[in-house]
Amino acid sequence: METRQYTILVVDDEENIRWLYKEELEDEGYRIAAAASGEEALDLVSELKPDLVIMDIKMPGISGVDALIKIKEIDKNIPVIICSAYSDYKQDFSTWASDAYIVKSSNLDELKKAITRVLGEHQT
Amino acid sequence: MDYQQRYETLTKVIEISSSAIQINDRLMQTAHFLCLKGLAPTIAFYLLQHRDRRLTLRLAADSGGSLQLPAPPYSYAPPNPSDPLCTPLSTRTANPLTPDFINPDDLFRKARPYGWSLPLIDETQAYGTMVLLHHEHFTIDDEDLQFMLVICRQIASSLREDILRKRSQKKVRRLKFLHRIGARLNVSEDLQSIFSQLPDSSLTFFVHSASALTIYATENMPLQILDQGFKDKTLRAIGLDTSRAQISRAKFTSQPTVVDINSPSTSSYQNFFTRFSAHITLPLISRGVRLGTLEFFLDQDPKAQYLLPLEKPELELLEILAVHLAATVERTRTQNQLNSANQASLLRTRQLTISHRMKNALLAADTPEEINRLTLGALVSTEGFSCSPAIYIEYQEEGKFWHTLFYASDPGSLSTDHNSPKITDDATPLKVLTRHLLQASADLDTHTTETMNTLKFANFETAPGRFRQALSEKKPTIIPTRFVSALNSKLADIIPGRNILIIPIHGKEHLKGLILANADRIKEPDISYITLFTDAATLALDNTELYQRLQNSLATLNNAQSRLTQSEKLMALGEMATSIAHEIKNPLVSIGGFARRLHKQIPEESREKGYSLIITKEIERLEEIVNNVLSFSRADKKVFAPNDINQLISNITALFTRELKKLNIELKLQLTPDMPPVECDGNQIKQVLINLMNNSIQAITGRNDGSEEHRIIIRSTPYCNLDKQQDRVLIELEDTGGGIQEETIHDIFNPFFTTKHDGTGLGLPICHRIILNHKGEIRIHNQVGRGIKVVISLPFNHRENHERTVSPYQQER
Repeated sequence: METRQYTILVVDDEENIRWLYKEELEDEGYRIAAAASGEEALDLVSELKPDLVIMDIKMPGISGVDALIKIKEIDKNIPVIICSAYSDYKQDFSTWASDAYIVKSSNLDELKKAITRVLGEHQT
Repeated sequence: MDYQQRYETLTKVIEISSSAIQINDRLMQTAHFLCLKGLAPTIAFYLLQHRDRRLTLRLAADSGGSLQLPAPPYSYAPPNPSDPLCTPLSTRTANPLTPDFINPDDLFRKARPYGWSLPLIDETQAYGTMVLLHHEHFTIDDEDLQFMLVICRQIASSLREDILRKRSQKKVRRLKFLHRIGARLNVSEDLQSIFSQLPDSSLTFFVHSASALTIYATENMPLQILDQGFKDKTLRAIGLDTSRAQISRAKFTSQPTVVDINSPSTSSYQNFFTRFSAHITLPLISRGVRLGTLEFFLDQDPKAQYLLPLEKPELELLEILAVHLAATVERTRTQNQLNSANQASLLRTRQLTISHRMKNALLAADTPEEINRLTLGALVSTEGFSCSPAIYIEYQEEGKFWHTLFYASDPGSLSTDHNSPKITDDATPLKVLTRHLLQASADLDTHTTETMNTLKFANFETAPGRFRQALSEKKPTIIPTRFVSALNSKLADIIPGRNILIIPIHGKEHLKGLILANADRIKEPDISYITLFTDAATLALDNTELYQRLQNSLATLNNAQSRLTQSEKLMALGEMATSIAHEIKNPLVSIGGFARRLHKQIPEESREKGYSLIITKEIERLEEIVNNVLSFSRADKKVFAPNDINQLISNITALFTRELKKLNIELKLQLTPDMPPVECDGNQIKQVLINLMNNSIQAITGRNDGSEEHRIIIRSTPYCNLDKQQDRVLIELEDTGGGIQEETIHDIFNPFFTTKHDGTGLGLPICHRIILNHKGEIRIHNQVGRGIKVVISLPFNHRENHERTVSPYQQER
């Protein structure tokens, strides 16, 4: 069965990070959209209906966690992976709504695995 | 007898009567003269005893010399009612005597049974009879009889004069006696001396041939018997055994009474008092208060017919004496009360002064040592209690062990030195005195001080009972030295003397120690001062103890506060570090991510491939460090996995190989092979090992005491902790870095504590945190001058930690 191309929205205030994710994930065959803030992300979610959102937490404007809650309000079926430099947010209840929590690293293998897993789970 | 003869005879009789010689001699001379004049061959005088109205033969004269008369004084004649001598002498006539009236006991009346009895009588009273005796019946003519009666009248007036003179003499003697007694009573200081005046002065005067003693008893005082010149010890004892109640019941009457010694009320005296026929009780009453009684015991012939040998005037005199005596007793008693009150107040003043001064000195003392020194100083000083020497023995509760702390002795020279301080000298603080004393005693005899230092006492439980009793009493006690010397034979050398003063120092909670001191110069009243003074010392000791405890808790509080401040500082720094790390993290991720991408595109086996690999790996390491910093405050991101501890150790030490070689540090690995894997976060354990290795290397290289031994040993050994029922692995890291200073050892796990110039103070705290997160233990064994040994124990398998790694959202699913 031919796999359809998934659209992933990358939300991070760091342009380089957005670029790195775009490059890496496009190599994996995903279509990538990027947002530099939570507000922008919410617009794009409504507009693009992405298959998955990768969300940083610490951003100017609304935080990634708040954005995560709002996205789930718009469409609770859109999976969100939190990818943060902090490991301690993992203990925070409000992050539990996410589908995965990845500590940001230059090695994206873990993120990629999580994406595959989350998308796979959502297909069924 | 013719007129001339009668005239001569009368003249002679008047001459004899008015002469100054004794009445007996006068009578005798008269009788002789009358015999020689041929009045009668024998003439006897029977005189009336004024007490019992009986006639008694006073004397007799015989002209012939054929009659053997007993020597005067003659015993009085037994009463014979039919004897004309016993008839009332109201008649002024002479009575002829006949042989019928002969008294068989009367020797000279047997020899000359016939005679005439002539009354000796004047206008006021009768004095007796003059008896003219013949061997045969004879008559006297009227004229002669009248003459004889005139002569008798003359003799009677002579007797009257004599009686009057005797009475006045008696009065004078009574007055003299009263004066003497009064004078003595006025100067008497105490009861004892008052009573000691009485017996010889009063009773030789009043009662002839009497053994006398006074008994003095009051309702508040025990019976006293004062027997001047009466040395019967048993008497005293009997008197004292007599109950006071019996005495007072019998004797406390307001009038002088004569008590029959053998009466039942005085039966308790009987054993002793049977020798006395009677005694006289005089109440001693002053201002309506019965003070006691004055008693006279009359030692008379028990067969005597007369019970009362004293006449009324004499009893009155005794009454006056009793009044005087009572007043004096009262005065002396009041004086005594005043004196004792005065003495008590003086005593109290001195006690107050001493206690005040001691309290000031003791409360100003800061340490128990100083207080003990003060106490000893005051004890041994000649200005204090002169109990020199004295030692203080401290009680240590652990193992009930005792040892001497202080020794003090007054060298004696101080008391003669005018410049030396004195306790009584207000200008000089007691502290100065004590310093002098201790200095002097330290200089004086170093040998004694050395002996003192070696004095140790194990358990006082084995001490003699007297000693233990003294110890348990909460006041100073004096006991013979031999009871104490059993404790330690050297003690007698240090504290010579027959008696020893034991002062237990009881604190508020327990026995603190005791003072032993020479007690040979202590007087009984001193004990109360010493008690007062040691009480103050104990109080001061308690105070310093409390003060020290307060200081300690203050220090603990300060310490806790500073730690709190530090941890606040840590939190602030942690937050800062976290935000910095976060800022570093993003660029690192970008650099690392793109480096990876580059790396993938660089062809294999090119040099650039190697470069990019290094970049990638180093960035990974950097990311790891940043992660560690980020996770320090909440080091909860643990990736638990089975790890080969030996492998971890080898990997880490491999990183240091070049450095160690360069620094000439020997590394020894003593790893137990084939151990089961340990469930842990390998990276965190690596972090711990790296930190420890860095510390050890820095310690070794920083050591500049010329030590040649540069070595690090790492061991791994499995071990079973029975308490926790857990198999553990021990990782030991031992170095020769010289160890840690003792005063800083407690701070080494505190964040930001560092002894290095460029240290962050986070190394060991992170290690500590990581190991704790692994439910392990980390301990530092410090050997100053050699090095340290860090011992880490980790459980092989820690399920609890394992479970915690499951993330919450996974649980939800």
